[in-house]
Amino acid sequence: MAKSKISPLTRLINFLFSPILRAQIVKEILCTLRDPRSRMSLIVPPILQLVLFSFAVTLDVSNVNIGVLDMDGGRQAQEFLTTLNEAKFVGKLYVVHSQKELENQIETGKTIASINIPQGFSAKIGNREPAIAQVLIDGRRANSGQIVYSYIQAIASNLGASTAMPQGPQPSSIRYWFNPALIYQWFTVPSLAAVLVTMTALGITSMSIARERELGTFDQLLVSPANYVEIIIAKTMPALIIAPLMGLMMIFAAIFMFGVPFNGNFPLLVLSIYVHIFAVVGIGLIVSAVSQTQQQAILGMFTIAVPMMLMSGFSTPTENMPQFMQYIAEAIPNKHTLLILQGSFLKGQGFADIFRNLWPLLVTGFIGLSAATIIVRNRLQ
Amino acid sequence: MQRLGALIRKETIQMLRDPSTILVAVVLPVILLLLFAYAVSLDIKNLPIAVVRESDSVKAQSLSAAYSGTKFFVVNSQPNRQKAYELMVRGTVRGIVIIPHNLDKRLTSSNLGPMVEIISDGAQPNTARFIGGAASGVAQEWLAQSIGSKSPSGLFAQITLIPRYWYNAEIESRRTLIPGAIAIVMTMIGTLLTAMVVAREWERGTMEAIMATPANTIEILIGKLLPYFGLGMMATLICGALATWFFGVPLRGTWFGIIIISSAFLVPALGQGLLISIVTKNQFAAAQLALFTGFLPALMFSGFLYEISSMPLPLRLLSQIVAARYYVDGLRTIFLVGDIWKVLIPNIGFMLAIGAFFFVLAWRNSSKTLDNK
Amino acid sequence: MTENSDSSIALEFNGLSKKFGAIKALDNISAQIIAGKLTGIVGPDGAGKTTLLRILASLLRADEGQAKVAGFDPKTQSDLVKDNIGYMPQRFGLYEDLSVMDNLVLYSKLRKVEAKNAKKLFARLLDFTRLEPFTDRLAGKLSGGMKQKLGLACALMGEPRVLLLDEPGVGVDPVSRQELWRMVEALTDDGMAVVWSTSYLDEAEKCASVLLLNEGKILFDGPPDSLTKTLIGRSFLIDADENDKRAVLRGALNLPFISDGVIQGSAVRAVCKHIDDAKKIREHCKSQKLNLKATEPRFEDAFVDLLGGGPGGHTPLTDNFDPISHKNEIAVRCENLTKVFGEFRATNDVSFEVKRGEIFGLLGPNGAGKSTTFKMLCGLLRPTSGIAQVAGFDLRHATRKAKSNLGYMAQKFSLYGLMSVRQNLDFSAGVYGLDGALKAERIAEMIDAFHLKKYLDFSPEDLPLGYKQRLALACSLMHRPSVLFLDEPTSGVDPLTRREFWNHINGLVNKGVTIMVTTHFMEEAEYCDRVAMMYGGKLIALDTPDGLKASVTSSNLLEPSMEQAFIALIEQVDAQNGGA
Repeated sequence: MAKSKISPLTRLINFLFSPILRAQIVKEILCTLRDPRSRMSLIVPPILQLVLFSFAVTLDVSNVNIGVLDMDGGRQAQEFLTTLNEAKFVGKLYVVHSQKELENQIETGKTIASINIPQGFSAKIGNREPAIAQVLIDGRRANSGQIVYSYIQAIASNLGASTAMPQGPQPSSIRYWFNPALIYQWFTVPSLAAVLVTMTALGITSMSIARERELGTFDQLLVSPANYVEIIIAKTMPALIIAPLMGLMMIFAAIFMFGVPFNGNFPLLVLSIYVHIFAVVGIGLIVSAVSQTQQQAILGMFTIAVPMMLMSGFSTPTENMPQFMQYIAEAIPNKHTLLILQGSFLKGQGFADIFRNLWPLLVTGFIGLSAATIIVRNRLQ
Repeated sequence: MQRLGALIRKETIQMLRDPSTILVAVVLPVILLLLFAYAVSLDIKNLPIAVVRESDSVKAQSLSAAYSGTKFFVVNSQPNRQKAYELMVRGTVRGIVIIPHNLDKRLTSSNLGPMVEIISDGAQPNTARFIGGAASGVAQEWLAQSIGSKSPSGLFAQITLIPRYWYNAEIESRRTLIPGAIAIVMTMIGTLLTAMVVAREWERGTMEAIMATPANTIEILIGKLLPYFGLGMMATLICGALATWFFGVPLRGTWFGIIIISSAFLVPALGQGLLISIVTKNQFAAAQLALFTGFLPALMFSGFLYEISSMPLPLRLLSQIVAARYYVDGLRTIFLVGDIWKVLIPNIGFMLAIGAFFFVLAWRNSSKTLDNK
Repeated sequence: MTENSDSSIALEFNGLSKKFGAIKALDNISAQIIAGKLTGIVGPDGAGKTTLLRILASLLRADEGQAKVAGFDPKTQSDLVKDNIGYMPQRFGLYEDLSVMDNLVLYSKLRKVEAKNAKKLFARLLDFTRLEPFTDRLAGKLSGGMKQKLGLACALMGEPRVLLLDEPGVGVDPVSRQELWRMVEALTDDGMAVVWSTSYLDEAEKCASVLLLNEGKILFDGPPDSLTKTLIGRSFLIDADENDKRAVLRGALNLPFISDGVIQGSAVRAVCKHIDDAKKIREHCKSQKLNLKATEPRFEDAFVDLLGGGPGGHTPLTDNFDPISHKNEIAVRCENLTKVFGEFRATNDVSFEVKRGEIFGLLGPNGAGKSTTFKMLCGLLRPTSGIAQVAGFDLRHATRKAKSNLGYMAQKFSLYGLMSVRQNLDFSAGVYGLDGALKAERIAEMIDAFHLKKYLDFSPEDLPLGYKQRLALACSLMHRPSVLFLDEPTSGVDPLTRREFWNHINGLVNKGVTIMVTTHFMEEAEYCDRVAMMYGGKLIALDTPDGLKASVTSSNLLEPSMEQAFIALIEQVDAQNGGA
C-alpha cells in the first residue's frame, strides 16, 4: 500500500527532474542568456523604457498653449484670464486682437484651444446673470482638447460659483478613491511594466522554436529521446525565469522610484506575475510553432502583440469596445493583469477578487501550451 | 539605369512572393484600422457605475433616473453603500453615486452637505476624472432644471461655455487616431521590414554576390529601397481609402497632399531601416533594434495617443527627432483640415532633415567591401 | 588595356597580407595566374582561400601588397575590376525566391548585357548548363548541383576575363560536379582565366596549375604533377578483402613510418614518410603475409604529405566502448518505403536491410531522396507508405528507450551556436538521459578523444570546421548509440579532417556500431561495406563497393573508380528512361 502511494509522487519528481528535461531547460536558458550582448538587449531596453515612457504615457494634459480674444476687458474677464494663466495645464496664454488671428493660431497648431470673451461678460457675472463665452478647440487633438475644455470649464464654474449667495444647495462632492490626487503615474507605471514584460516574454518565446527550425537543431532535438511535452515545457522556461524577475524589478521601481503605494498582498502579486507570463508564453509558443522562419515569427508576433496591447485597456478603457471585442479581450492576458495590478497596488484586493482575474490567465496559458504542443507534433510531415 | 531597373524588378518580385510582406502591408493595416475604428476609442461611454439611492422621495428617483438616462453610464443600482464599495474594490463598477437619504432637505440648504456624493475609482485616473466630471455635470444639470423651473436666475452667475470642436465637430476619436495608425503601419514597412530584408541579404550571402558585380552602392541601395517605398505608399493608400470610405474619416485635403507627406515620411523611415540593417547585418538584432528605435517611439512619441506638450522637457526634445511625430501632425491636418501648407511644409522639412541624417550615417557605415562584416 | 597575348598574365599579386584581429589570414603571398588555364586553390580549412578570392574580387581590402586583376588594381580601380570578373561566392549568391530566368535577367542587367544580345546569351548559357527545362523554377527549389550551375551561369554574364569560383563543388554530387568541370574547361579553352578553390583533391589534380595554401602561406605553386612527382616510390597498395580492409588500414596507420593511408576499393593505399621507408613497409607486409605492390602517387598523397601526414590509426574514442552484442541481427530495415510531397515522390518504394556492425552508404545525386529516406528512418518524417524501422522500432512512435539506440548527425552539424562547446556536450549528454558521474565521465571521454579541451569555452560557430565536425560527432555519440546516422558528415571538410573522421568511424564499427551514411565523396563510399545507390527517389543498385564497380565494368571502362561507377549507373538509368 505504502509503495503504491509513493509511486505517483516519485514519478512526478522523476518527471520534473529527469535529466532529459533538465538538460533542455539549461540549454534554453543558456541560449537566451549566455551571450552578454543579447542579455543586455533583453534587459536594458525595457527598464530604460519604463523610465522614459512613464513620463510620456499620460492622458493628462499640461503645458498647452491657449489663445484669448478678450472683447470685454472688464474685471471678471481679467480675473478669468489670470486664473487661466496661472493654471498648471496652461503653458502660454496668447492674447490676440481679432477672431481671424485666433482661428489662425488653431489652424497652425500654435494653440490647442482659444477663448472668445464677448462684450458684457463681466457685467453679466456681476449681476449673477448667465454669461456666455465661446471656446474653439482643435478637433485634430480631440482627446487632449476635451480635457483642456474640461479644465477651462472647471475654472469658469468656479468663477461663477464664487459669486454665489450663501444659502444655495451644493450640487455634488467628488472623491477619488485609491488615488485621491489622481496621480497619473500610479496607473501608468505598473501597467507599463506589464506591457514591457509581456513584450519581452513574447519576444523570447516566439523566436525560440522558429530559430531552432531555421538552424536545424530542432531535428536533432526530435531525434533525441525528449518528447514533445518536455520540449514545450523547456521552451517556457527562459521567459518564465527572466520575465517575472524583470517584472519584480519594475514593481520595485514603481514602489520606490515612482512612489506608487502598494496596498495589496505581495506574494499574491508575485504569483499573478508568474501566471501572467505563463499565459503570454502560451501565446508566444503558438506563434513560434506556426512560424517556419525567424522573420515570420517576428512579424507574426507583431501582428498579435499590437492589437493585444491596444485592446488590453492600457490606453483606452475596455468598456467602450463593442461587445464581441470585449469577448476577444478576455483571452488577452494583459487585460486581466492590468486589473490585478491596479487591484494589488492601489485597491488592496484580497485573494477572491484577484482570483476573478487570475483564472482566465490560467485558461489562456493551458490552451496556448497545449495548442503549441499539438502544432509541433503535427508539423511532422 | 538598366542595372537599377533590374535591381528594382528583382526586389519587387521577392517582396510580392513573401507572405510576411503581405501580412505587414495589407493584413496588419486592416487589423489596426479596424481596432482604431471600433475598439480603441478615447470617447468615453457606457462606463459602469453604481447608484445608491438612500431616499425614496420623488426627487431622489428623478435624480437617479437622470443618471440612467445618459449615454456615459451603465447604472448598476445598489441598496447600500457597503455593497457598492465592494463592487468598486472588485472593479465591477468604476464609480459610485450616492443620493443621500435627506436629499430633499439638502436641496434647500447648503449646510447639510452636497446633494450627491460621487466616488470615482482613481486607479485609472483618466477614466476617474471623466466619471467625476460627468457625474457632477449630471447633478448640476438636474439641479438647474429642477430649480430653474422655479426661479430663472439669482443663486449665482452661471458661466456657460460654448465649445466648438473645429475640424471634428462630432469629437470622434477615430478621426484623430487613424492617421496615427497609418504612421504605425508605415513605420513597420519602412523601418522594420526594410531592416529585416536587407539584413537577410547579408545572412544569405546574396549581398556578397551583388557587391562583386559592377553595380555601385547607390544603385544597390536605391534598388533595395524603392520597392519598399512603393509598398509603403500602397499601404498608405489602402489605409486612406479604408479610412475615408469605410470608417467615415473626412478627407478635407487632397490625395496629393497625402502622397506628398507620406513620401516625405518614408525618407526617414527607410533611412532608419537601412541604417539598422547595415549596423546589425542579422535579422534578429535588426528586428529588436527596429522595435525599440522605430516602432515604440512611433507609438509613444508621435503625439497620436499621448500629448507631446504634456511630457517633461527632455522627452519633448527627444520627440523632436521622431519623424512619426511630424507625419502624424501632417496627416491629421490633411484629413481633418485640408492641405494647409503652412503646417505641412515645416513638417516635411523636419522629416527630410531627419531622413538625410539617417542616410548620411548609413552611407558612412556602408563601405563596398566586406571588411566590417 | 592589356592585349590578350598568349600566356598573358590575367591576374597577379605581390606580397598580399590580410589580418582579422590577431589572426593572419594571408601572410605575404605572391603568385601569377595565366589566362586560358584553370588554376586551383587548395588547402585545408582556414588556409585563407576565401580571403584571397575576396581580395581579388575587390570585396576585401588587403592590408599590404599589390594585386592586378585583368590589368586593374582591386584596391583603387574596383569598378573596373568588377566589370571584368565573374565571381561566385561559397554560399551561392542566388535569390532563392526568384526563378532561374529572373536570376539570369537580374545578373545580365547588373552586368550591362545589351538587351539584343541577352536572348542569345541566355540561350547559350541555358544550353551550356542544361537548365533549359527549369527556367521557371524558383532557384530555392533547385538541387544543389543545379544551383551551382545557375550560379556559374550568373557569374559568366557579361563575358568576364577572369572567373573566380569559391568552392563550387561543395555539396554537389559527382555527376553535377563532372558537368561543372566540363563547363569550366570549355571556358578556359576560350582564353578565360579561371580560379577554382576546392577541397576536393581529385579536382585539384585535374587543374593546369595549383596554388596550395596553408595558414595564409603558399606551400606550393605550379602544375600538380610536379608536386605529385616528388612522391614517386612512396605510394603502395596493400591488398585486403572486403572483410578486413578496415583492420588492415588501422594496422598500417599505426606504423611509425607510414604518413598516410586510405581505403581504395578492396585495397589499402599507404604512403611512407620517406623514400627510405619503402624497405620497412615491404618487410612489414611480408611478416604480416600481406600482398604489397607499388603504385603511382596521387596528388592527394602529396598534399597530405606536404601538410605533415595524416592522423594515426588509433582512436581513443572507442577504448571504453563496450562491444555491442549481435543478437539482433537486423539493425535498420526499410520495406517499400515511400514518401510523397504533393505530386513529387521523394522516396519511391525503397526496401533494404542493414546488419549490425555494418557501414551502409546511401549515395545518389542531389535530390535523389537520400535525406528523405534518412529522415523517415529517424522518425523526422512520416512515411506515406511502407515501413521504416531502426533496431526493430518505428521511431515515430518509439519509446524513450528505443530512441536512445539512435545517434544522428545532421548535414549542417546542428550545434547550438549560442552555447559553449562544453555546454553543447552537457546538453547532448543530458537530453539522452545521462546523469551524474556517468555523464561527467562520458563528457570527459569525448573531450579527450576529440581534443576539444582548448576549445571548451568557445562557441561552436567560432571553431574551425574540422572541430565543429568533431564536436557534432561527439554530441551524437555520448549516449553510445547502437545505430549512428550521418547525413553528409564531411561536406566541405578538408582531407586531413576527413581521414580523422573515418578513423573514428572505423573504431566504432569495430565495436559493433551500425553506421548509416550519405556522402558525395566517392572515396568515402569505399569505406562502406555496402552501398545503396538512389536516383529519382528509387533504389537503383545495392552492393558492395567492389560489386558496384564490377557491375559497370566494360571494355572501355576496365577498372572503374567509384566515381566512374556512380556516373555510369546514373547514365544507365537515364538511358533506360530515355529508351522507354
